[in-house]
Formats: sequence, C-alpha cells, structure tokens
Amino acid sequence: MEAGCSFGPYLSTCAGGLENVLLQELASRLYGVQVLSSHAGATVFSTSGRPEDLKALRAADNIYAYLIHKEGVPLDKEQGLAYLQAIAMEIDWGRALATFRQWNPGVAIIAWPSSNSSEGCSAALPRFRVTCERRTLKLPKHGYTSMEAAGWLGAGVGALLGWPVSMTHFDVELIATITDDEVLLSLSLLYSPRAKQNASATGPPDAANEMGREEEPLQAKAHHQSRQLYSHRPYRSDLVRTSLKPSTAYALCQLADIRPGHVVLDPLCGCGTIPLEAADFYGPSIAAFAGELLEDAVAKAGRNLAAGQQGGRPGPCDVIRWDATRLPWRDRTVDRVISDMPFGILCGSPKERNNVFPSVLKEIARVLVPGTGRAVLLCQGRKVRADLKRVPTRDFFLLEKTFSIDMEGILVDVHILQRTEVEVVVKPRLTPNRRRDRSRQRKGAANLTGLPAAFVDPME
Amino acid sequence: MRLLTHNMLACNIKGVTKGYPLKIEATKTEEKETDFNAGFLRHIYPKLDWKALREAAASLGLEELPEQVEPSQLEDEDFLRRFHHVLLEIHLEEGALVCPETGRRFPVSKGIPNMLLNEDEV
Repeated sequence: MEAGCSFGPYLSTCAGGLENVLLQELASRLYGVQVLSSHAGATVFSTSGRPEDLKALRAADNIYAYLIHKEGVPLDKEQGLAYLQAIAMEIDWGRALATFRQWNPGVAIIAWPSSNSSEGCSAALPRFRVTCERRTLKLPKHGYTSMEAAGWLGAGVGALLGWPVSMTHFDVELIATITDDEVLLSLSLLYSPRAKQNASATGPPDAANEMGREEEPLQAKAHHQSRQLYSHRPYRSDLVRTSLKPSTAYALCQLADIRPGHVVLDPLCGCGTIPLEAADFYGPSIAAFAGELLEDAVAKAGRNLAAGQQGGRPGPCDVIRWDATRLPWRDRTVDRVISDMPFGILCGSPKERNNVFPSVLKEIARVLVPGTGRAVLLCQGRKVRADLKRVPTRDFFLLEKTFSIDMEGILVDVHILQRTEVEVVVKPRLTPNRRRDRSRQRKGAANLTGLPAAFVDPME
Repeated sequence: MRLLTHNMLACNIKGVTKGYPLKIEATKTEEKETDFNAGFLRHIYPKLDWKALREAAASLGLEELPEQVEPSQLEDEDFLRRFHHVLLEIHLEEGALVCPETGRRFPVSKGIPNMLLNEDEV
C-alpha cells in the first residue's frame, strides 16, 4: 500500500450472506479498494476514498477502523482473558488513530502515546470504552462473560496507551466481536460523543412497537441504531418493532435488479423501508409503492415518506393501506416486488402468517408483469419454502435462488423469484367466506361454493 | 397520493367486475415538485391506462391531456413535461376514491388511501 494515499484498513459490516452486494458497491463507488478479507458480514478493506465517500455507502451497516483479527482465543477463563489483555500490544495503533482523526477532526487524541515525549503529555488523553459482543456457534461456551472480556481488553489498551476509561462519556469506543475462538477488534468512527449529544437532543428515532408489545427494550435498540451508518438516511424517522435495516433493504433492491422505468412494490412494507430506500437510491428513474395493513405502520410509513422528501430528493413513492392477500391493484403492472415478509416472534403468530402466505404469493404473481417480473422475498420457515414449490405458485414463479442471511443472529431466507408467463386466473368470488365453507367441506359438509370441486382453489 | 397511484388502484370488492377506474372526490390537492425524468415517463407509459389518467386529470380540473398519444409525442419534451406534471406532481391529500360500480368510498387522508375492505366485502 502506498503510504499517504490509502486509508484504513476499514471494517464494514452488513448482514451475513449479503457481503457480495457490499463488495460490489465498494468496487463501484470507491477508489483504490483493496479487500483484505470478507466473511460472515465483516469485510476488511483499504481505500483511497475520503470519509464522505465511505459515509455514502448503502450496503454497509457501519464502518469502523479495523484494528486486528485473531484466531485461537482460548475458551478457558484465565487463559482467554490474559490473551485478550495482551492483544493491545499487537495492534497498529498509528494507522487506526490516523483514520480516526481523519473522520473526527474535532476530537483531540494524541498521536502515539508510546513516544513518551513531553508534547504528547500536553495533548488530551481520550477517554475510552470497550464494547464486546460474544457468541459461540460451533465451540463450547466461553468461560468468561462479555463484560469480563471487554474489561480485560480495555485493561490491556489502557495500560499500553494510558487512556482513562469512561463508560458513558467516552471519546473513543472499541468494538470487540468474539465468535467462537476468533476476536475481531475495531474502532468506532462514525460516532463521537458530541454527535451523540446532538442526536439525543433531536430525539432518537421513535421505535415504538408494532404488535402492541411493551416498548422499553426498544430504547436500547434505538440507541444502538443511531450509531449506525444507515440511521442517517433521511427517511428514517419512525420505526416499527420489526424495521428492516436500510442497508439490507438496499441489498434486496440490488438483488432484485431494479432498472430505469420500473414499478417497484412492497405489499407488506411496515414503516416503508424497502420502497423508501428504493426511491431514495434510484431517484426519479423508478416509481415505488408502499402498502401495509396495520394502521400504526401505515402512519409511520407516511411520516417517513414526508421526512425523506424533506431531507433528500427521492423518486416518486406513495403509501397505501391495504390487505396484501387482496391487492386493490391492476394486473401485470409491477416489475419488481421486494418484501420483508413477516417472520420471527415479534410479528404475529406463525400459524396466521402461514395461512395468508399462499394468497399473498398469488397476488404478487397477479400484479407482476409475466415473463419479466421478479420478486425478492425475505422470509423464514419450512412452510414458506414448501409453499414456493407447491402448485400453483410453482407455475407462476421460477425459483432462481434461495440463500440464508444472518440478521442479528436469526437466519432468514432470501428467495429470488422470476415470474413465468403462466397467467394468474382470478376466480369469481361468489361466496362471502370461502375458507369457512371449505373447512365445512373437509368435515364432509356440502360444497357451498356452488362450483364443481375442481374449481375450489386448494391454495387459499 | 399521485395520479400514477390512482391509475394503478382498482376496487376489488367481491363480485365487482368494473371496479376501475376509481372516481376521485378531492377536498384537498397539493402540488409538489418532483424531478423530471423523461426515461421514466417513456417506460411507464405502456403500463398506464391513458383514458383513466386523462379523466382523472379532467376531474381535478387540470390541464387537458390529448386523447391519444402518438409515439412521436414521447420524444417531445413539452408534452413530457405536461405528462410528468399530471402524473407525478399532483397529490390527492384529502378526499376519497369511489368505486364506479358500487359507489363504495375509499377515504384518502394525509395523502394515504385506505383500500381496506370490510368483512362483508371480501
């Protein structure tokens, strides 16, 4: 690497499984990118790009100054903590602090404390903290807690650099991620304490609930999110409990292959993240539509839409309240359906969701342009995977690709579907409540639909 | 909501066969500037129901659109600007969309149409 024209190395994070989208964006947006490693949602790279260019990245959850990655951290408590304490000695602090200073010119931190010169003492020593996230996937549990790991890591750093610790009023935050016997250490760049005070003055995003649950844990969530790169999107003003990260929404849009002139639809949009991200990124070359059932989420999507228009120059996007199992929408008009389908314990009951899924799929097939339409769906569960392979969904869609992504520890499927030429026939709706009728049928009651049994849709 | 959205929405009450286009009852409309993009207009044109757009514009008292669009007009910036204005810059903020067959009103509030059906309509 040529000194002086390349900064970093940086660590950029995204949902595990979507690294390729991030790599593509790095290559297309930044100069002189050199990728040093990329796996499990963590990509390490260096670039000659300026901080402003990096802040414009959309596929990244966040950007940090990379410090070190080590394998072989002992699981045992005593050895493990001693190992973590010694890590500070192996870090190239000079480079990392140069990057930090470039990003936060307002925060005074001394250049290289080990120089021991008198001018070094006159500069302010930054207060710091270590935040540790720890999980075990394949190996047995660690003998220490995350707090202990953070404490001992911090002790090593403090002893080496002479920085005092402050958990609440820190200038510098070190982030440690321990997965099995690997540790990845990085330095927060985006958020100086000053910026944090500003953010709390204007109020963090309102992260109220969606399904009538209590709100308190969301305070922590909102705080965590306000330090992320994606929280700076202009349309991100009101969140629902299961809000998708804008970086993931961007990745889904990229996977959907949106092109100029496209009509992009999310029939289950929540607070509107996917269509708003599409409108924000693709601008006036496309039209995006956000549909949602729940009143609260619809109102939030409306406010996010307004915030996006105020803070940026998004393309046309409108919000509609509807039921995704009965879209009030003309046939064959949509080019891309991109949706984060409800999943997880925060979002209704699995049984309810599984019951409506086939009808939602059928409506998606109906509104998509046959032959060229595509759908990218984020969902979870065996039932969903089975539905995609069943008649008539199987006829309407070619399952191009399915892969899993890791969203904060939850594995979720991304399905990329290509709409076939097969026509969706909407049968006349003759009876008010066919579901009840069919359940009677199953019990041996008469066929009340008035149609031959062959006409009764087995999917709905 | 824009007239583009109006052009896509249809009433889907059970048994309704002519639920399109929805009539517009406007109590408040707003004009919001949107970036002009000729490529988008050319792409979206074949998907539109032109007659419905023309009628919607007329019902809001907007500048008249031609009855039919010749391919050459899609190259004419003057025409495209007028098309852009009607399709994307006029927002129905308060009012309702009315099903032409049943007369069912779908209220529009703060620019968001509520297309939810009652239980006896599905």
